[in-house]
Amino acid sequence: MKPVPFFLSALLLWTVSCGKVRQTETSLGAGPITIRGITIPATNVLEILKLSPLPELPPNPTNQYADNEDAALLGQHLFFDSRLSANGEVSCATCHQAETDWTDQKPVSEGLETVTRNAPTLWNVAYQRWYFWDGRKDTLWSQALGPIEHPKEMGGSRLRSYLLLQSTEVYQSLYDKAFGPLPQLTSTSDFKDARPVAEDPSDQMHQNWQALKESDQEALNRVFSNIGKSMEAYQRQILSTAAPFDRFVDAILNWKEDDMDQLSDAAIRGMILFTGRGQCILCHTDSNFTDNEFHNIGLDRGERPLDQGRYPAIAQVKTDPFNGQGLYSDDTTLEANQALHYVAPKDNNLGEFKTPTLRNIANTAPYMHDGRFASLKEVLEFYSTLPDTPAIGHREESLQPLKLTEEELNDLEAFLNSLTGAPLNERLLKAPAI
Amino acid sequence: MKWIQIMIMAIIAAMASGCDNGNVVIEQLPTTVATASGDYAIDYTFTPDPIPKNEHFSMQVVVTRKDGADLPEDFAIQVDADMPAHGHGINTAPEIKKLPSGTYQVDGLLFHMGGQWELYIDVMEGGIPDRATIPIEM
Repeated sequence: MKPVPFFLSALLLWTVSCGKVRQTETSLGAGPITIRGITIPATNVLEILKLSPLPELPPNPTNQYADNEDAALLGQHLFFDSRLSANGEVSCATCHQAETDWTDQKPVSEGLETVTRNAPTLWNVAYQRWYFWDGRKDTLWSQALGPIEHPKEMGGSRLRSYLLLQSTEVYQSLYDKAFGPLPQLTSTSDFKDARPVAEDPSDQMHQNWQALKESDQEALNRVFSNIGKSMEAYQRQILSTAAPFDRFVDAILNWKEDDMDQLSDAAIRGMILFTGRGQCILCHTDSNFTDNEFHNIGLDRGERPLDQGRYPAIAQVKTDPFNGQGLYSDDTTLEANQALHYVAPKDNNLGEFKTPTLRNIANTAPYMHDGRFASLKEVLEFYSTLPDTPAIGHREESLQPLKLTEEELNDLEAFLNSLTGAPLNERLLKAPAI
Repeated sequence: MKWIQIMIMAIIAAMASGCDNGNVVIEQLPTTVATASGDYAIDYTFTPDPIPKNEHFSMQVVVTRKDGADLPEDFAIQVDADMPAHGHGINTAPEIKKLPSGTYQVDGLLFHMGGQWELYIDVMEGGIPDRATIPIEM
């Protein structure tokens, strides 16, 4: 049995790296595998092997502090600090709660006010190409800035964030170690909040912003972007751990027959459906179970305001001053920002939302961008019947009602449950001790 | 003993496909396509090749007229791609740079899903459009 690990590894390496092939590696094929009487077809085997393990965390050249330990510690402090918010009661952790897999378990989140979308989990967030359900941010550090200043989420501002750093000794010390000395502002003011509000120049925060010297505005923008970069450094550590599915794949690769029981019979059948007739892997692809792109799956409007999803977000991300090609990025080159540079709005982007990861999915209910489905069973029943008329745009036409039997629904759910890993190190689940 | 079956199939596949200096050539697909009218021949290469799924790639296109005449000054191309069975295309706007001798560098393509894609090279001469279609299975 020992040749198998080498052989399968070689086969995979060969199929993905060699040859003048316009078609994919499935051209090669592999043999079926039978486990406890359940045969996994050859085409499924190849797909399954691509789903584990998670690859090495990709670098983010737009944030030179992405793997800086002091920055990460500062980011961890700030993530749990509600003093960034206007009322002192809302932090990032209000909606992304560590003890509930970085969700708030609500259909839509509640900051200062109720918003219109579900708080997505942060598991493996550093692997993503786009941020927010509509992808209106292109980097994790830029994403972190959005909720701080959103009037319905934390309602804070870049001035308030700066003042918090300035008034908290440990924050200032960590900032100094990671980014250099915190700049001193030269404008005299007695207000605590200031930020540009382009959509409403009469807003008091905008008025305050205009009252600041340009050099102070620049300094605040720089500090604010560094706050985002510190939060990214922290969140890059929120990585899913090996799940039963990963151990099962490892058992196949290394032919450890004793570990084949990592998946139940139902989960194996579900895995075959997931990678075969269900076509789930068209979007939930690769080892983070997402293509990092956007799809209109044909959800109706539900009980929320009409949500256009991806389409308007493309213009937003292209013009965001904190995007990867902006003044505060540490690498504005095309090579580091291909996704941002080449993305363009298309008609089919209407009503599209980002494909979420399925890692730890059993723990991150409710589901969809508006949290309309309370359970995985409800999600699977939706894909089985596709009952809705899309709220806007048109449904991805590869989606056809799967007409799953009760047993198949249970099998798929069993497979999704097998994607749950162990919790993170306790150290990362709360604010560091001061 | 399933692994033995797999190994045998792979060995057969390797023998059938050939191997050159460590690079296995499984299937050499044509890299020339004609437009719908037949008036233009288009040679193309991808970088990288094979096209990686869900990663940006480039292509170089060389257009020649079937009658051997030079391409006029107003000749231009556009490149786009669709998944006909899915009802959508790519999410990028490829950038095209004109090079000498009917050659065009196309950057910013990305096929974000597996499945059947159609890559379109639209040519325009004297206000008359023409199209070459390259089917690609990802």
